Amino acid sequence: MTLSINNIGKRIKRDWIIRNISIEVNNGEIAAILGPSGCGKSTTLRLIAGLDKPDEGNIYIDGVDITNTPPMKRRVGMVFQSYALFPHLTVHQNLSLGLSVRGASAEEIKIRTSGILSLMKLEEQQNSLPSMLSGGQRQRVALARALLRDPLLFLLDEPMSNLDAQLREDLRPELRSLILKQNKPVLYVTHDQHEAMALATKIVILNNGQVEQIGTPKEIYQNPSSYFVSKFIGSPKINSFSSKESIITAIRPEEIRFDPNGIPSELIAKEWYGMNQVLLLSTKLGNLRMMCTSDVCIPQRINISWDKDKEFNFDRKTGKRINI
Amino acid sequence: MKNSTRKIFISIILFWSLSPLIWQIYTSFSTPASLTEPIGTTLNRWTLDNYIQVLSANPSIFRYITNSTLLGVYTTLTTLLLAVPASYALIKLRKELRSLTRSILLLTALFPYVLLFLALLELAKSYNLANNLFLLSLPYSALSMPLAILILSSSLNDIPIELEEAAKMEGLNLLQRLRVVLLPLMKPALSSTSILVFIFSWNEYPIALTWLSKTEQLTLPVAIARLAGSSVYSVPYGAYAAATVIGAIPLLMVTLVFQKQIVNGLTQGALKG
Amino acid sequence: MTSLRKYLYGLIAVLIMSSWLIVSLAADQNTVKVNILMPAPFDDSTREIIRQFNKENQRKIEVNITRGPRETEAVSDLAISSLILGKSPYDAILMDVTWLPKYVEAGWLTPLDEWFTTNEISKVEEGAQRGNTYKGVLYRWPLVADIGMLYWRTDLMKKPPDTPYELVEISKELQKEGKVKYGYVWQGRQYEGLSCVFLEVITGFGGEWIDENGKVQLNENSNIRAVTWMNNLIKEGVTPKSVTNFSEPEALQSFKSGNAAFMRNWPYAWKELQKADSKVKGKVGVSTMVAENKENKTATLGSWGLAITKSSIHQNEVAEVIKYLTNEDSQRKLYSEFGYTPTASKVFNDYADSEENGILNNLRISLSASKPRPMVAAYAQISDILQRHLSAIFTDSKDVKKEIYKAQENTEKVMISAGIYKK
Repeated sequence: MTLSINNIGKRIKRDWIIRNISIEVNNGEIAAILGPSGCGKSTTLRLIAGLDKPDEGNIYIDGVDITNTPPMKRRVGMVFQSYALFPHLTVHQNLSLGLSVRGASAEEIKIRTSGILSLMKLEEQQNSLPSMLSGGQRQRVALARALLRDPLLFLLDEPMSNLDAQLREDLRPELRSLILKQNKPVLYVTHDQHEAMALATKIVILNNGQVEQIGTPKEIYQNPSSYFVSKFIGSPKINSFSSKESIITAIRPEEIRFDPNGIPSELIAKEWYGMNQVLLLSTKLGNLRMMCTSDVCIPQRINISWDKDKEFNFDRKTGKRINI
Repeated sequence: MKNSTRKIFISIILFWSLSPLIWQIYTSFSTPASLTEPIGTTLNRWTLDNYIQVLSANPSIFRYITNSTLLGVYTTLTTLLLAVPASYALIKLRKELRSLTRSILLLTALFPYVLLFLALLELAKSYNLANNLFLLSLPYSALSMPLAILILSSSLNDIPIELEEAAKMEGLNLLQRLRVVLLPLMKPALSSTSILVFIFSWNEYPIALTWLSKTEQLTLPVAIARLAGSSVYSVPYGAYAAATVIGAIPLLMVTLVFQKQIVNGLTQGALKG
Repeated sequence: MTSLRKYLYGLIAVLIMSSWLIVSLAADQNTVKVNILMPAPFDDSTREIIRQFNKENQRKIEVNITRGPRETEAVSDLAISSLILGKSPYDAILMDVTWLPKYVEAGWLTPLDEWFTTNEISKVEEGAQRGNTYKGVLYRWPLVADIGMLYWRTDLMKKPPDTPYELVEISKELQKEGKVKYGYVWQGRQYEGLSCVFLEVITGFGGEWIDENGKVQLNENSNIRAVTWMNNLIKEGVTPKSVTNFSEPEALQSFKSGNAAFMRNWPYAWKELQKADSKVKGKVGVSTMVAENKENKTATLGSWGLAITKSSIHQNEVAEVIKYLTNEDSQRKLYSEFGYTPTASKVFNDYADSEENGILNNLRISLSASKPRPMVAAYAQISDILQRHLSAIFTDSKDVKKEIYKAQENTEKVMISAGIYKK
C-alpha cells in the first residue's frame, strides 16, 4: 500500500495555503508532517482525508486516483486533534456506529468492538460517555475508532497535543508500536519536533505551505537542507553567525568544545539542561550556545572551537544549504 | 442579605407574570355579577357555570383542543422537516452569503405576518385550501420558518465541525450524519423550536379565522372568539376565562414535559467539550 | 448526494399527497344551500327559527349559519376579508347599521328592491326603516331594531328627566341623600359605543356631526356645549371617573347593582335588569335620552339587518330566507325569548296593551326619534377620530374646544381623502 501525493495545492481566493506538495508514504512508514503553526500541515491532512478538495494536484492510493472520492468512501482512519468523539454516544456506541453503518453484522460488530476494547484497555469504560473519560482514554477511543475503520491509511492530527507532557512521553512508544503493527501508511501531523523524531520513520518539514525537506529523523538533524530546517530542528537551538557576506554559518551547540587555542569568549549565563549545562557565551561571532557535558565549574573566560566539517553553510538570500 | 433581595426580586417577577393567570382562573370560577363587585359583597361569588357552558357546548371545547393540537403537530413537523435541511444548507454557505441570508431571515422573522393575510386568503380561495387543518399548517410552517431556521442554524453552528467530519470519515452519508450525530446534538434547539412553533400555531388567530369556517374544524382561539353571551353587548368574561384556562392546560403540560430542553435550547452554548 | 435527492423527492411527495387531503363534500344537487354570516349571539338566538325553516323547506333550501366572532368589528373584518376576494362564501350577512355605506360603495351588496316592495317597507315601523338604504336604494332588511335608551329608577323619582340639567340636578340630589353612589352611567370607553352616546347628547343640544349635505359640523357651538356637559358629568362626580373604561356590560353592572340613578344603554339591558340577581328589578323605567328641548330628543340607531351579497348565486332563495327570518312570528320569538326589539308595526301593536309589553311602548317612542350615525363609507375612520379626541378630553382633561376643533379638522381630512367631501 502506497499513499502518494502529487503536487497538491490549496488556495483561499488567490492566496495559496499550500502548494507543490509531494509526499510518498509506504506500508509501515510513519511520515510526520512537522512545521510551525500556520504552515499548512493540517490543510495537507484534510486534503488527504477528503474533507477539503485540492485546487491542483492529485492523491493516489496504490496508483488509484482518489482526489475526487468523497471522504465517506476513502477508507481513511483519522484521529482528530480534538478526538471528535460523539459526545452523546457511549464509548461502545462510538466504536460500533461506523461498523453498523458500513453494514457489519451484529456478530461481527460484537467481536470486533470487544477485541479493540480489550486491546485498548477500555473494557471498563465501554458504557461511559466521552465526557467521563480522561484525556488518554479519549485518545485511545479515537484511535480505536480509526482502527475499526479498516483503513487503507491512517491520518493522525496532533493526537498528543491535548495531553500533558508527562503522559505524552509515556504514551509515545505505545502509540508507535500500535500503529506500526498495522503495517499501513501513516501520516502524523505535529508541531512538536521531539514527537516527530521519536515516532516518525520519515519527517516532512513544511514551512509557509512548501516542503522544506523530506528525510529520516537522522538525515533531517544531521543534514538539514535549509537554514529553516536547521533552526527548527534541534534543542537547544542551533548557533548561527555570518561568516561571509552572503553566507550564514550554523553550528550545533553540542559540537562546540573547550579549546585553549580556540576563540576567546565570555560566559554570560548558564542553565541546566537535563544532566548537562547549556552555556551562553559572548564571542566576536556573536552569542553562542554551547552544550557542556560535564558538571564542572566554568571560569568566566574560556576559549572554544569546533570541527569545520560540522558546520552548515547556507545562502543568506535563499536559505538553501551550500557547500564550501 | 444578598439572598433576601434576590428572593424579593424573584417574587416580584413571579407576581408580575403569574397574576394575569391567577386573575383568569379567578374569573373563570366567578359569576358575572361578582366580577364588578368588590370582594365580599356578593354571596353567590363562585360558580362552575362557565366551565359547564364551555364543556357542554356542541361541539365541546375538547374538539377544538384536538383540532389545535393536530394543527400544532402538523405545523411543528412540517416546519422541522423543512427547517432542518435549510439550516444545514445555511451553515454550509460562504460566510458573506450566510450572514446576508441570516439578516434576511431575521427581517422576515420580524415582519408583521398579518400583512400577508389577504394574500394567504387569496391562495386559500383559489386553491380551495379552506377548512383543512393540514393545509392550514402550511402557511403556519412558512411563517415559522425564519425563526426556526435561525434557532436551528445557530445550534448547528455550535456543533464542532470535527464531529461531522469524523462521521464522514466513518462513512456516514448526509442523512445518517443528520440522524445519528447532528439531530441528537441539536435536541435542545429542536425542542425549543418545536415549542415556539407549536405555541405560535396554538395561538394564531387571523389566518385561522378566515381559513376555517366549519364548526368542527375550528381551532381554539377562533372558537373562543365565537363564545357569546345573550347579546352582542354582553361579554362572556367567565366563559372566555374558563375556555382559556382549559385551553392553556395542554400547552402547560407540553412545556412541563420539555422544560429542561426548552431552557437548554433557549440558553444554548451548552454544546462544548 | 443521492440520499439528499431522495430526501427532497420524499418531501415533495409528502406535500403533494397531503394536498389530496382536501375534502370536497359532494353537494346534494337539488337543495339550494344558503350560507349566512352572523355574529355569535345571533347564531344562538336565531337557531330555533332556522331549524324550523329548514324543516319546512326540506330538499328545497337549506340554511347554514356561519357563526362569526362575538365582537362586531371582528365579524366585519371576517366579512370584508372574504368579500374583497370577490367570491364570498356567504350569501347573506347580518350587518350592523354602520357597515352599509362602505359595503355598498365597494359594490359587495345587491339592491333588495326586487324582493321587498314599498308595501312591505310600509309595514316596518318608521324608525326601523332608517339605516337600510344608501343613496336612495334599499340594501338591508332589518332583523332587529336597536336604539340607545335612558334607563331610570322608578323608586327614586316620579318621572324621568327631560333635559340634561334636570338629569344632573336629580343625580346630585340623590347622591347627596346617599341613595345612589353615582348619578348617571354611560359608555365612555374609547370605542364605538362612545360615538353612539355622543350622537344622542349633541343632538339633544341641537348639534350635528355630519349634516344632510355631508358637511362636517363638529365645531358647532352646540356640540362644544354638549361635550362640556359630558365632561362636567365626570368632573363633578355625577358619573364615575371609571366611565372612561365603561362599555355596555360595565354600565349595566353598575346600574344593576343599584349604584346609579340613570343609565344609557340598549334595549337588551331591560331583560338583564329583570333577572333574579338584579338589585333594581321592578324599579326601572326607560325613556328617550334627555335634550335641551323636546324636539331634539333622539336615540342612536343600532339595529342589525340582513343584506344579500352580490356574489351569491341563489339570491331569490336568500331573499326567501330573509323574509322568513324577519317575519312577524320570528320577531315575536326574538322579542319574547331574547328581548330583541321588533321592527314591524304590527308586532308593536299586538303587544301594545299586553302584560308582556314591558318597555315596548317606550321603545316605540324612542324608535320614532331614532337617528342613524353618519351614513358615509369612511364612517369607521371618522368615528375613530371622534373617539380619540373625546377620550383625550375625558381621560387626559384636554381642552374641550381645542379637541373638538382638531376632531373637525381631522374628520374633514378623512372625508376629503375618501372623496366623499369636497371643501
